[in-house]
Amino acid sequence: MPISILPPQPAQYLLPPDPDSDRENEKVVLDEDGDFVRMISTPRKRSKAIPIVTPGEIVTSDPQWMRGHGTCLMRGRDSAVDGDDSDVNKLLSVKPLRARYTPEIGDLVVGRIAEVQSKRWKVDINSTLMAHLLLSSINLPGGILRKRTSTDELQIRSFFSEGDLLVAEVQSLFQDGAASLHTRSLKYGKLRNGYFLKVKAGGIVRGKSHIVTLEAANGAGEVDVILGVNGYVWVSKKVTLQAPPGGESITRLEEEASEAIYSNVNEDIAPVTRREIARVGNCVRAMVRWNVRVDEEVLNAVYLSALELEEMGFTEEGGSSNGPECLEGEVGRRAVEAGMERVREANSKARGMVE
Amino acid sequence: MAPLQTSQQTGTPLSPAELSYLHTSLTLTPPIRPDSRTPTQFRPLVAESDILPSTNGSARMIWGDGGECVVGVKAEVERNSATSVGPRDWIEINVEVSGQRDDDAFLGMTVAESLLVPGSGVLERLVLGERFHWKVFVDILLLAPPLSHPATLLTLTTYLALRNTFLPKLISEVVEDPVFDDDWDNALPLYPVGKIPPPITLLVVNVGENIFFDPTREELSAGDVVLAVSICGKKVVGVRTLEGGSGGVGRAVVKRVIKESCEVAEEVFSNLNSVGEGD
Amino acid sequence: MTDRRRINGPLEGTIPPVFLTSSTHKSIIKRSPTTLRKIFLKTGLTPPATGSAFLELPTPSTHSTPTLKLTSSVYGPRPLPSSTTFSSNARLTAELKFSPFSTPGRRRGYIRDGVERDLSAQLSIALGKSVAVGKYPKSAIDVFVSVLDCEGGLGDAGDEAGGGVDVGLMSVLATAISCASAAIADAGIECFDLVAGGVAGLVLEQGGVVEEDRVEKSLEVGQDSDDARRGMRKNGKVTLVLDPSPIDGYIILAAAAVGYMAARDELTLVWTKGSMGWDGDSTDEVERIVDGAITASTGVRLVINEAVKERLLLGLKEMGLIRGKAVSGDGDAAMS
Repeated sequence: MPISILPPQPAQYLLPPDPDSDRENEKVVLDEDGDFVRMISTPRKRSKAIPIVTPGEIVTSDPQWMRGHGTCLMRGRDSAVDGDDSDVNKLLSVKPLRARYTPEIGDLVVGRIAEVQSKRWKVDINSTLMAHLLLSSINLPGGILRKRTSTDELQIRSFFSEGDLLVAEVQSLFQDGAASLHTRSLKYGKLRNGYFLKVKAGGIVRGKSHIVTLEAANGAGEVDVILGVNGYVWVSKKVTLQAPPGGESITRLEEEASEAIYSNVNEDIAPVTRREIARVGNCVRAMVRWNVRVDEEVLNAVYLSALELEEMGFTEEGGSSNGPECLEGEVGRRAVEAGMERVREANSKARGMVE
Repeated sequence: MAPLQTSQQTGTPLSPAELSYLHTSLTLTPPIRPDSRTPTQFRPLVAESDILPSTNGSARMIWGDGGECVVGVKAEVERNSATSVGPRDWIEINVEVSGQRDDDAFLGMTVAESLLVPGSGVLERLVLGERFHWKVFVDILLLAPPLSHPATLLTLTTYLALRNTFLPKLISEVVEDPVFDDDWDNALPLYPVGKIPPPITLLVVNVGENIFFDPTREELSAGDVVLAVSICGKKVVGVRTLEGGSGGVGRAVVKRVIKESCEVAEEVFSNLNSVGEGD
Repeated sequence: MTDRRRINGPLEGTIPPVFLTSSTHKSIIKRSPTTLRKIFLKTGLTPPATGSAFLELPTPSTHSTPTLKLTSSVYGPRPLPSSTTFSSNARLTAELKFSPFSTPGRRRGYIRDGVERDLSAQLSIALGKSVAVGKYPKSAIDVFVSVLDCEGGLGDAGDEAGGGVDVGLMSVLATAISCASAAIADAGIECFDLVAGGVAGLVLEQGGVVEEDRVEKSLEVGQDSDDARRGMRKNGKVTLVLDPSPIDGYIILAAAAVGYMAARDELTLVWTKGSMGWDGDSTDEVERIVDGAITASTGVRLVINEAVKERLLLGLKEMGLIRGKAVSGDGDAAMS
């Protein structure tokens, strides 16, 4: 069926908050939008039931608390943004449940160059302010330790030009909250050989590793997924650096690699790899659509479930002409549910092993 | 001059590597779309009709990429005037894109052009005796402009609204001032079943030898030519080239676009007609 | 919206004078449906512009025949203003404007209306794909077309359409494309190919004679021609008319305008309107008018080539680089 037109439905809550989450000190809260968030359960008695506050609501009148982000002082303390409040020691702050991305130092982000200035780039990272990438905080071709020259300034567009995608780390924050990025590692830099997609900023878990390598099915090789904390996701073919023939030194290898860092040319990607890249992208999109936050473990599970569903030949009623990898609508929900089930099983198994 | 702020030209362009990846994927046989749809598959969309009680007909639709559109149709009785002769201005179409200051006259023209295609027989149903006629106002409100071109969203919603538009039944004689039947149940549909239905416009992009329906923003920028094909019943009543794309198109492709549009449109029509029947 | 900076005429009450249709309108030499009108095209008429062209059709014309007259001027490539963002390609903008006196009947205002914006957008789409924009980074190419005179109406409210689709706007767009293309070539801007515009329409034929002068009163038109369509589809034949003009009096059931790059065999613009009857397959008829419009634009292309070449030869001759090879006439190219 080329088109499906659905009647409007009330917001669907996909998954009941999983009761036996492996993170014991966490509590899962379901808000009105159907988003559920994991949060540290607080020792405070008052907020145990509903730790979600609305703007203007008085959080506490106890003078022992320190005022953190998202709160302001009236006669007591009250929250300024809609969201859940958490407290670390005596600091009380309120985080919005759904807002644009707020950069924090150390975050891995995917960004798109929006503007080129004389010594820096402005990068769109889905945040309130454009991030800055200074010419001095990128790897210049010809070795990491090369000094920056005025020639580099003149040919700044040969490194990154408008529209280019890059993966970077938040190095520091300016006074106004704008992020300053750096790409001074071989992991970071220009993005090639893949496909970019955008989900909402809260859809990605801020976790340990954000560069996930999936073993793709159907002989497609390995697929790299870069889950930017800002909600920008890059799915690409895994490219390994090949040592030059003759076994040269590691510095030579680095030099070679850095020469190719700023190339705009894709490698040859087989159709089967492209198909799996699309499927992984669909998985990420379906997970965020059905309110599951993306991290490595869950993504792996959902990807496997999506493959299984295709094998089983599950399609919507009459939807036989859909693309087999397509995860729109109901198929996506099934895949995500199955994936979550898989994660839960794995968790309980692991717990059983420990015991 | 930017005629369409809502088109893909807003914001920054795609990176060269991204474009080449998309272009190669889309030119493969069979092509691989970024979201794994088949070339003729649409993103699921949500639609409902008869939502505004103070209109003669209304509809609302939410597009796959977040575009939302509300259409209200109102009819007023107007005296035939000497200065405006033709029945062409008996149907007035206004498009308002929220968040944009200027009304988009260009979009309105695209809708109007296909709506006023001669011979569709709508204008005859607006005649009220010798001296009066109905004036139909179609107000299209684009609450959230979609990332891709809004033409399809506008026309599909307009189609739904017009399909559900009813005009009170005239009970007076031809020469008299018009008097209408009070009973709303006797109202006559503006587009009766079996007559020529209102038109819809489908967006088609071609990449190399392949053609795609319901393109996303990325597909639009990787494509060669973007065509909007208006279809009324089983007939193509208009083709327009839209902004976007990077090259020319061979005539064989144009012919294929037209042929496949007719087939896809048939499916779209049958789906649209079933909106509101389920509940 | 009214323009507050100008003194506007009275809001209501002025009705344009209605003149009796003079017999000259009917005495146009009848051309066969596949003949194009003669085109006068001359480039380099606006010295301050980088490139310019003037197009008139049909030629020769007497002062009483309605004609289509356009001038086009191209400025650039010139640097983009510093406030705009970086662009690695040249930005081509096209603007089409009707002179206030260009239409018969009602005067057109100075403010750009929807029709003008629509045609401008389509014009820039058609031209943009032929110019090598990648060769001129950070620069702007501005194309201005002004319509001095357009034959017949433009399908405004109040114009009698005669139950068919109007081709007025379509032929304005197609000639604007051709004219602007010649101006771009005159400006010496690098192009992949020249775009020529062509229009074709389908009319009903009855008894071997292309049906003419079936202009009825507007109210009956819809129903009547609808019936006529159904009735005549059986006995009448559908004829393709190249380069139809709104004053020819045809009832055009479907029409197409294209921008066509003849050397690359590619279309940069397709615009079709209308449809034949409501039964049967429509794809072949759309194909037919698109093919017809391509044929028309191929004819126009020859004129553009000729006009561009002649201007060049004229310039070379003035400089004394070419001797002896006389340029015929005063540089106008005609095509029949």
